[in-house]
Amino acid sequence: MIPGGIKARKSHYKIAGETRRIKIMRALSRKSWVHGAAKLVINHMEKRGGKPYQIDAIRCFADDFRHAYLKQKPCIFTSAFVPNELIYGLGGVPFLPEAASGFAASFGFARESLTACESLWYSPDLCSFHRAGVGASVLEFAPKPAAVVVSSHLCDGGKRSLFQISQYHDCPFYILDVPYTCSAQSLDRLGKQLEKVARSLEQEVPGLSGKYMDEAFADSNAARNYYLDLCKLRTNAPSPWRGSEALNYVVLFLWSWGSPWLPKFYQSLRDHAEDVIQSGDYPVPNEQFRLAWLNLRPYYSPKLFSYLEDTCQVSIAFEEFSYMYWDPLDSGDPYISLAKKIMANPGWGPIERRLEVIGKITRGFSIDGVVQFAQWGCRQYNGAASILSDYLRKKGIPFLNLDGDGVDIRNSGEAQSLTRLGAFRELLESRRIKNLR
Amino acid sequence: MVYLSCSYIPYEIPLAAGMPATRGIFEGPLPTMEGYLPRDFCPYARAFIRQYGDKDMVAIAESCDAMRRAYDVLSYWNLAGAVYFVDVPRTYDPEAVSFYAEELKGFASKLSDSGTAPRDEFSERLTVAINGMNQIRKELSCVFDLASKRQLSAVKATQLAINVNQLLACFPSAEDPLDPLDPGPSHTHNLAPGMFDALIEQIERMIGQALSESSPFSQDRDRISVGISGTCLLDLSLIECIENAGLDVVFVDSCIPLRTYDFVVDSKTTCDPFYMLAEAYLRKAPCPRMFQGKERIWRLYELASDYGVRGLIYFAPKFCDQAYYDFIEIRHGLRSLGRLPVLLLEGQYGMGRTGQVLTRVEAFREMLEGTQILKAGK
Repeated sequence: MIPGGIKARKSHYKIAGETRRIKIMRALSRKSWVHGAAKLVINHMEKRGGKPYQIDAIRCFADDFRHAYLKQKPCIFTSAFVPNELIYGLGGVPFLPEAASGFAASFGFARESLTACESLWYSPDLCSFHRAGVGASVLEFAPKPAAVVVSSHLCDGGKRSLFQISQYHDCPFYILDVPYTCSAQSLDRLGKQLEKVARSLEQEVPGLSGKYMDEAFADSNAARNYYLDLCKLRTNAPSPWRGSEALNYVVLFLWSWGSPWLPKFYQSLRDHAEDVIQSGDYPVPNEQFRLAWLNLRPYYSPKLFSYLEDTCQVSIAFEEFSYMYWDPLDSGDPYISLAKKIMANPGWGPIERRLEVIGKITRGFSIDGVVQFAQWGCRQYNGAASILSDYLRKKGIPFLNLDGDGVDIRNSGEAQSLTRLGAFRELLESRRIKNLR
Repeated sequence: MVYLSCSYIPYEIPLAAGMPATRGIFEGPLPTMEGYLPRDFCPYARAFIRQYGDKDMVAIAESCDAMRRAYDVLSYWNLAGAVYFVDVPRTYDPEAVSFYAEELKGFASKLSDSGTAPRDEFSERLTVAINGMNQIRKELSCVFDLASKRQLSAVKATQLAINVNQLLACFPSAEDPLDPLDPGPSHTHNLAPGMFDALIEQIERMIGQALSESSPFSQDRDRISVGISGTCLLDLSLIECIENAGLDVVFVDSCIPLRTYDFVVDSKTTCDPFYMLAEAYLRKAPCPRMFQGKERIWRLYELASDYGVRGLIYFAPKFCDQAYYDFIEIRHGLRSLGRLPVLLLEGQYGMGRTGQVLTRVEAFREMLEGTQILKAGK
């Protein structure tokens, strides 16, 4: 028996949220023919003229999910800001429960996961991305992890929820204790921890070996180059790519660095953006204003974005979570290189680092206004709202702190959000008129 | 004055630098400062947001997301003379201890305003401060021991710990009157051996007074003993409420008092005092922010077994993520180890004064009494 584990609960009671459709999906996700059929569907989509980048993205996830659910490769659960080059480099597949929660919400499975989680005493005041991740693990809707690796920086809920998932599955748990300030000593400490975790994973998890590290680093660097090209293209006005779609693909940005599919995806996406600019077939053709979007989005409903993009003709030109913040990785010194990547995250360290990035985004993408999606329970990002508001006000850029919940529809006031976005659009318009005068 | 935000930041460093230090204990967030942090934020982090004096320093630890944002707010809006971030590791191993020792040296350099590594002379003063604080911790450990034996109420024991914290706010100032209610202006002094003596005498007097004033506590041996755990016990109202509901609180596993004072720093070895300090603070009873496996569960189980506790009351400050997650581990852990019932209470400052909480605690007491009767019947 594991003290503190949630296993005891499981053995005595039926878990809340374990509905018939969850049971069906759980069973299907572990059938090899389902994954085979998914491959056929993707091929069919390709023949029917699906957008190449969308097909590459599906392939990227389908590949990882097949390996994880069918146990073809060791599945390592990681928190959102662990560099997954480490996992791909060891020959495993990463799985990010908090990012997968976005998937669950968009496919309508979040409710069951949240119910399961709350029945185990998790407070509804916690971030729903983490709650849904725990719920999916408890319902065994998510694959079974061979180990769990988290980083201590940014988000408290991520590391603690994953610790509890590791207890539930009785698998090894590793924490990267990330120093707050970047110095040679900090990098050395973090680099040593990364090396120790890699060595330990190789020993503890059968099937993991560091021989793929060079390959993963090369894929990551190649993807990075394509991605930087894409970012340059996204500075174009009107925007060549829908921000609402870009916010969906943030999950790839968090998940797939080191995957062989990622360079293909970003290459296809870059080509797509180039084609859009050449053809002039912009997704928001009469772009009136350009927004920068901070934090994530509600994944269960597209209404907010169709209102913004289609009705108001307002583009989300760039997202904070899509900002490329690290230098190319060096396979000659892999652990220090990964340590640098972790520590370069602008959300870590003093707030000035985040402000600097937001400043770069507003300048580089000709931003008219900034919206922060204030995810319920996100102390990491919401806590800076007063500072962001002041910083942007001094720069003359309007700021909207839009309360909502990315996964839990019960915390969402969609009509209220639409009203606030509409008012924000009016504010941008009145400022433009004022400036013209 | 140096305001400390966390039990992992040693008092010894500011004291060795000749600056009075106090753990930030407040009566709640100030209404005038409400706009700086969102309402759905930990009340302790929100209470930390206030206008400090120009000569005051606020030392914020890397405790949680909320305290990091409190640091950002204090520093961005210049709400204190200086704001310093103390990077406390979340793990306890030799590398973490070495790292934290360096971090503490940085803190000492900042306080001594030299910007360079502390010199030997500072290390000597640090050893004096460690010895002094060890004596203070020893005195307070005796107080907690009395509370565990039900010879002193937990409210009084905790109040004594808070008073000692206020005394440290006027220290080092052996020649000045030590009035806990009026810490006086910020000033620095050179710390010398013997300077703690007056303070310790004062603490001993305070303890003696508290013991003599206290009516014989809990003569009724049938009263049920409970423990309190959580991240940060915001104020005394909860302990008062539990005692008023007819339960005896025999330990309070919170930043204040137990986790701040219930340990000793080894000062006898010839090791670097910063290393010894880092080692002792990281090794002390772990807080929910630490990743030390099952240590917290085992420790609470041991405390419960040693003191004959029949139930645990877990207090989570509203919107404290660390407490929300920790509670789940503690609840399941204690159930699997010894079937110890755990009551979760969640709230803000002054929550112990609400009827709703009193009703819940009374219901918990009735449940524990029922279990006791059932066991006796068998």
